[in-house]
Amino acid sequence: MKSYHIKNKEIIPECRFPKGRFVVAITALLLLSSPAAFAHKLNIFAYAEGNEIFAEGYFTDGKKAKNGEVTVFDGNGNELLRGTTDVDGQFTFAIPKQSDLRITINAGMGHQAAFVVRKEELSDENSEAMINTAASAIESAAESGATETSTPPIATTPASDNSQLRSEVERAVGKAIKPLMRELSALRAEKSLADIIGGIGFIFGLFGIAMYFKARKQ
Amino acid sequence: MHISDGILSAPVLTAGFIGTVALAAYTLRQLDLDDIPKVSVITSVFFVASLIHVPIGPSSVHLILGGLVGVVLGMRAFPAIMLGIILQTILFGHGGVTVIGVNTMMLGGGGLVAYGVWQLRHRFNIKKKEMLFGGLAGASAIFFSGIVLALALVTTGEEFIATAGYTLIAHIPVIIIEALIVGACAAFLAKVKPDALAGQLPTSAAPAVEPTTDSRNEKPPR
Repeated sequence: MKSYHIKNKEIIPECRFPKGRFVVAITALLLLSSPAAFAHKLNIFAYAEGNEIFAEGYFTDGKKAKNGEVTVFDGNGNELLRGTTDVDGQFTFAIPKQSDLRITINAGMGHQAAFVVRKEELSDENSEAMINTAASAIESAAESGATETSTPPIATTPASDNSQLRSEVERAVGKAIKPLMRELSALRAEKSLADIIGGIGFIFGLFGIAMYFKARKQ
Repeated sequence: MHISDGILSAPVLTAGFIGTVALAAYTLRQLDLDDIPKVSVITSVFFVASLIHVPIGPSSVHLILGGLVGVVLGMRAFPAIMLGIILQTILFGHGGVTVIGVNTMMLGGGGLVAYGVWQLRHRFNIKKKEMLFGGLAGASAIFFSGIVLALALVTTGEEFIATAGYTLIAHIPVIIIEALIVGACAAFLAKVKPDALAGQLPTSAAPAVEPTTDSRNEKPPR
């Protein structure tokens, strides 16, 4: 084997392929040793729940971004508030303003991520307020009606019950959706094997083009 | 070890891009036609390495392998790492588009430092020096990158000593693992295919200068 190797070298002094094969083996090893692709990246996801916003920072490998510095900006880039995530990488705050909210999290060592909660997603509170005013309007109408036509006051109770029920349902749905939201944002952040293969393809392709032009020059 | 978008200020980002373009232009001139297959394979290794996590330590860290790139490619490590970082940014979302310059200076600079450390082996005449200096090169690449990371973050108002200390402590597992990987790779390549490594002495002079006590004594003079 050794003598063959030497002989081979003497014949083709510029032979470079055995080492290439070795490196390909390393690449394959690296590829195989990462069962799913875990890009190391900080992510944040946030959503409005009632009149609070819930934000959570985590790394793509599943670690929570604890003690991350959270900063909230409005649509015009004004800083609204700051805070720190807890051990689970979570931070909850009351909606400071009815506008697009850009929530950034900085987990140190150059890791930062941002998430925008749209104004429309905050409209819960608005609609709730509207329902409340509507309910009270009905109530007052009913009351004023009661004085006039002596309608029984039973009509008022369903209205207030309704808004209470609505906020209750909202909270329950929010809770049920939470794991789904988390799953979805994790899924979005996950990198597929296609990205890896594609990247390697890019590298070979680009160097191939470089080689073509170099070879043409010579 | 990638800096994200939105942390550094515009002057720092610009400086990163200028430095990267200058260094890439300089190092790309040394790229020969024969080197291109090797460079592309090593670039792929670097590109994929960032997906491998080391689940130890206070923060989660991943392999970088800037040292391996430096040891195998020498000065050409810089353009290789640059391309790797650009693709990591686009495809994996590591770092950010505006930070490509600074990230390349940080990790590509680490690759060049590793090459410098690797070259020091010619001054020593000991057994297994490929493994030793390969390991040192692998460790020094990350060490250098950590210092640059801390320096970049200092411009945002963070304190240097604390940031640098925290970064380096977080990367101790990676430093150790990469030292082992690069050392093993260097020793293996030195035995199997010495001219795959960067900065080998010219092959005609190699038998004369290199002592035959190490593993390379089987190499025939050309």
